Amino acid sequence: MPLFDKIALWFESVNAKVESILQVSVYALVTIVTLEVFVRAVLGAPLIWARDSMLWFYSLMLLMPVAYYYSRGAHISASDLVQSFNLSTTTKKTLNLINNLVLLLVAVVLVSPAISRLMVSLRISEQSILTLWRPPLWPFFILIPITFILVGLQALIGVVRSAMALVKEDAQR
Amino acid sequence: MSPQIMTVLSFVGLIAGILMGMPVSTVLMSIGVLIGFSTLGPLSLDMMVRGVFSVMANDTLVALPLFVFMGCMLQSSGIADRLFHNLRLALGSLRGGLGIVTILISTILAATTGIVGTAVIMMGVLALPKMLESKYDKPLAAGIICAGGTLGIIIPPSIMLILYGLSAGVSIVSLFAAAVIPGLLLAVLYMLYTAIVCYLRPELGPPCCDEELAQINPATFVLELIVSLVPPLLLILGVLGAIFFGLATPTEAAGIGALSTVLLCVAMRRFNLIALRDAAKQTVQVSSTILWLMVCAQMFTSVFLAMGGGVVIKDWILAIAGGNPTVVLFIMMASIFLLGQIVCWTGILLITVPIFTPIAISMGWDPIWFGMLICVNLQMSFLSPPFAYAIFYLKQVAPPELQLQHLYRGVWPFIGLQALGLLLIAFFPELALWLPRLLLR
Repeated sequence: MPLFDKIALWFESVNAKVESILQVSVYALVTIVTLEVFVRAVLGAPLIWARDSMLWFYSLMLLMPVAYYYSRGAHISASDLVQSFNLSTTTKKTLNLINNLVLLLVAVVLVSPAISRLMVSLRISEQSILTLWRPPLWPFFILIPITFILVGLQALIGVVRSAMALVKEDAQR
Repeated sequence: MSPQIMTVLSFVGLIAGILMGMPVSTVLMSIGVLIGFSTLGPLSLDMMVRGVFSVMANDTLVALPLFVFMGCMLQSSGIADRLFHNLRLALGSLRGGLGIVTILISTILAATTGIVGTAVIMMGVLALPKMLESKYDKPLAAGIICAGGTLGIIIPPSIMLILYGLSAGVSIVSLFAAAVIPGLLLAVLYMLYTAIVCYLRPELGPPCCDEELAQINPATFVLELIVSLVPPLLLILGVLGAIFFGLATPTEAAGIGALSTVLLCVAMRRFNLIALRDAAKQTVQVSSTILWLMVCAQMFTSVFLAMGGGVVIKDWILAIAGGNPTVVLFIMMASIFLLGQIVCWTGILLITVPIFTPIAISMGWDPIWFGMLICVNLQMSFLSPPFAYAIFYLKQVAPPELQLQHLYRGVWPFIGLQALGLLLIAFFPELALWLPRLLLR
């Protein structure tokens, strides 16, 4: 197996693992929200850490599997409509290449401002102002550049795969 | 470049990207970067990163995965099975009775879950074989299940209402209250249509269950029927009651509802770890893809509105309509309906609402009423061919004899009923505004 395929498969399997681990965040959200309601309503003592930790688990669930769902084609699109156009395989592969290329470029452009925002947060020791617990905000901000980097890498894999498929098809012809 | 040209380019780019099969999130992000960079410069990229954080820091959105999880767990709980069995015996002997029961259960499910797929799949598995066995007309049976399923997205708790509220800056609790009567109105319209059509043409929905009915004891049956209604009614009262009476926020009510469905599964001896894991897996996928789309829509709309695109669209619509409010409303509703033929409701909602809401406010319309019109209109996108998601959900679980053409033929009368519902809400705003006024005084 060529080196690229090995690296691509390893990257995708890591992302798949991350996605399955993230199921825990659903249980965590249910537990934190119901515990907070119970403790507040019954014991009259709201949990100081509930709101920030709930948002962190929710953000984790929102951003970390994004790259994996790009690889699985699970993001919302009009792909059914495109399928009905009866396009040739070459056109489909070319469209795939363009789609991945666009995603790669956008992800690359957005990594830098996302890192800058993280650096600002670290430099000024930014804290959450939701509750008196006031945890640092960098664990939130670090998720943004990580997401764009993962999406960019996934798009790069898509670009190389589509380009290789096109070259292979051209050689066969 | 002028905002007018950038607005045209943005929409040409949006349509072209979508028709190329690109994920809507990628289209929105890339156009956002392009128009942002060319009109506002590098500052726009910082604005887009802030857009990501604004979705991450929004605790109301936490309700979305919780309601999705609730719907997924409800599918495993088996509450619909018992209810369907008992209501089928109670009403099945009427012409079209089985169809009415299906819509009734879909309405109850809609009030316990915020998504469309749950009711369509559950009724596709439970009710469709029984209707086909009873010689129901195939398109009618398919139409009933698909239309009943779409109630899930309008009757609260609904993830569409949560997303609408956040995009338009409208109270989600008010939207939940406003959606109750329009949702029930649509359910009644579906039931009336089924009853009338089967009364006039009995071969479309013949009576059933006579033999089964002859074997049961009426007293025990009534008790069994009441018992099967208790769990879903408790869930509805627990979740919606807590929200409407101000005892809990939508997020807290969603958390309690999610835990309650897990406990319901345990109580009904339907709980297993595989079902729990599957529900969590589905929740992560549905939530992450919808919320990521929201992140990208936020990135797009923040730069689109900052470069003046919203004002350009407003000027165009007002110029075409000649300032006539009815024509303005018609243009907005028609564009949402047409977009519904090719794009999923989330994409339409997240793109159009931030642009249309300021126009609605400048026309002096109530944002809650306007929101209801948009949400009922978006409901049609689940049924309107060629890309009707309710049809695709049903096809996944339908027996092979039910062809795609049966499904397409069956949904048209119900799209007509949804359009009638939309007109009723447009002409009688009190249908949407009375309940929020009463509950949230």
